Amino acid sequence: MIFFHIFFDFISGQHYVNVTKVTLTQVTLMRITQEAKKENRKKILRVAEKLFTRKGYEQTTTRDISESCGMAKGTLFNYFKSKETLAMTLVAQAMDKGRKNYLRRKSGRESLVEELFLLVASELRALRPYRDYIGPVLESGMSVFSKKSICPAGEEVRLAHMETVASILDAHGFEMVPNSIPVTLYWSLYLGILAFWSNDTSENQVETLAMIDYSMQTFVNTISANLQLREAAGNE
Amino acid sequence: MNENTQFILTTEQTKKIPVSSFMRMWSLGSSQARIAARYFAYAAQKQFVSKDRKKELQNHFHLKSALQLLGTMGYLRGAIMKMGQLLANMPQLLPHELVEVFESLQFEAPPMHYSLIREVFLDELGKEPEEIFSRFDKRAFAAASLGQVHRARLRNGKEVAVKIQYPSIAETINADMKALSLLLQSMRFKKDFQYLHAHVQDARNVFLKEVDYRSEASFMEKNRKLFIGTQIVVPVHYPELCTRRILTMEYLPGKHVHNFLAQKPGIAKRNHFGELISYSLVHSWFSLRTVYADLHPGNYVLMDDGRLGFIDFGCYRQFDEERWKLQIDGETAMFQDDQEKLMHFLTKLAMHSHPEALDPEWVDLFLRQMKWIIAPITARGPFDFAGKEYVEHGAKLLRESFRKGYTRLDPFYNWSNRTLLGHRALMYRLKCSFDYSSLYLGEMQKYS
Ligand SMILES: Nc1ncnc2c1ncn2[C@@H]1O[C@H](COP(=O)(O)OP(=O)(O)O)[C@@H](O)[C@H]1O
Repeated sequence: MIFFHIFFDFISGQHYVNVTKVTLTQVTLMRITQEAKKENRKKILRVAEKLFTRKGYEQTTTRDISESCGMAKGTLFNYFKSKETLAMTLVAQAMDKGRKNYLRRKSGRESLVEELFLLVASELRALRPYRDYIGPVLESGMSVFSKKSICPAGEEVRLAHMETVASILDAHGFEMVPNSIPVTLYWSLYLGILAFWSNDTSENQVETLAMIDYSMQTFVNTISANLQLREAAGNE
Repeated sequence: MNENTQFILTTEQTKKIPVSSFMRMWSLGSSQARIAARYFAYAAQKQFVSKDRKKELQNHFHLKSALQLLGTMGYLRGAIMKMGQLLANMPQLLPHELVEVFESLQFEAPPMHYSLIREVFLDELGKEPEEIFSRFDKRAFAAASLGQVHRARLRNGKEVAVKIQYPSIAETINADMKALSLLLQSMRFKKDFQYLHAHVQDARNVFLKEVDYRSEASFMEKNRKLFIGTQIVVPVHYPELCTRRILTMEYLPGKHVHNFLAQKPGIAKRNHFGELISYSLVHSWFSLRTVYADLHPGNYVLMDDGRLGFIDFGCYRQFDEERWKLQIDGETAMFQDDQEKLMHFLTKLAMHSHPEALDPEWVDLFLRQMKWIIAPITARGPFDFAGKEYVEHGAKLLRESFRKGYTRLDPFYNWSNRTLLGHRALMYRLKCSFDYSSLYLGEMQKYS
């Protein structure tokens, strides 16, 4: 953080008037490489997405991707540690878009169940293009079993989603305690929905809608019951 | 209706389900529905094999458990209701009381929330309700058996009713139908099982048609054209806003029979609507050769200006040429009391090859029932549908037929039978009396 501040001040040149020409050039170079890196990253994601869709996720290798990008396999590796990370990043981006849609769509008058439903349904809709390979991706990226090798992209997805859930709960008068049993329950239900959805053969995955509704109702019933218990205890 | 059922009916009807805290039991693989199916099959089976009073009471107990279970199920109850409808089409299998209980459940499915509806809209029409309509009521104003109905306004200002099907209800019911078929297998050693099975298959086919609202829309359109220029209004539908799970149609303002009667209308008004309802059925019967298998008071909207709204075209059966001829010949024989022709009709109906194979007891009962059915036609002049003698006699015949439980019958016959009974029940509720005979015979003549 501190570094960024300094860096910012540095290039804006407001506080460091006596900078030499050489350093300025260095900065410009840094900016170029930063931007080039960004571009490369975007390109890789774009190419990977295309290949996953065309060839299938399983059939696509990192070599295929690097070749299509016209870069060495090692270079690709600098950007994404594995095919799974790459796919997970795509998934994370889609979910992000889904959450933006949720924010746009919500009226603020939804009940808790309804709003959670809206969030998850919006995410899944944005995820549709990736549905074919989301199963294996989530399995490696969000597995509940491998605590040791947490995939950073997967962890990001989890945090971003849970942050939104926390704000929804907050708006409905519930406080979300991290790592509490209800949170774990929620996350299990959510993963269950994702798993169900990825295998849902019904038209437009219509059965998943029922699944989301049922899961969210279950969750809300549980936390409401908790609340009532606590209130009852407090009254005594 | 006996005391037990009366009790069940009243308690189940008055116990409203609290919608807010309602847990929508969309169960995985619909296990609830399967449990319920087991209950029903159990109750049905008991009815099927036993006749004594004690067993009957036991059945009532099971019936009650089944209904309580129903009360805890979310829109899955739609599925169960459909299954009930299916079973209700087999009076041979179910006690009459159960049929009535099912009918009482008709209006009680819990609502889908708006977030769910939006997803259905996005999937079906690619747009949100708000993008399509200038106004869309987020709360349903009526329940449908497989979904719910919302009011909305089109961009051109037209008021519409939008029927939306519960997601995956069709799949659920399909699975439950399979379960039911399997359960019925346990009765396969029973005499006439094959016919029973045929009834299930037949009902299943009719039912499958109902899950596609597009087919309902096209049949509705056919009926709309049929009734142009009469006092019967069938809603216009909007094809670009109709899909398998969404049906957008003109909203018909008015009251259902129940609310109409609550205002204590005079005999003239009751007769007026009784006659219109009869005309809607008789006219489509002769001109389209169809019967409405799902006839219930919710199908009619009694409008303030005296017109009759006719809705719900999801569940109907159309006669093919051969069946139609048989039906008309049978009716004519009945009117003329032509014994030989009647026997021929009954032989076909019971799927025998010779009249000698007919069960005389069944023939006797059937003829008495037919006589009751055609009484309003043979009467000539105004007929009092609420006449004490007529009603009591009908109830007695019905009980007798349920007790006997014949299954060897062309499944098709179930549907027309149900419509006829539904019609007589409606006329009884309206306590009306008019010249049904001229109406019926006039139409018959026009289309023969
Ligand atoms: N066009 C309409 N105008 C007014 N009310 C309607 C209309 N369509 C449906 N409804 C209301 O919704 C209820 C259920 O609709 P219906 O078509 O009978 O459903 P189902 O699918 O169960 O047959 C009706 O009983 C009626 O109250």
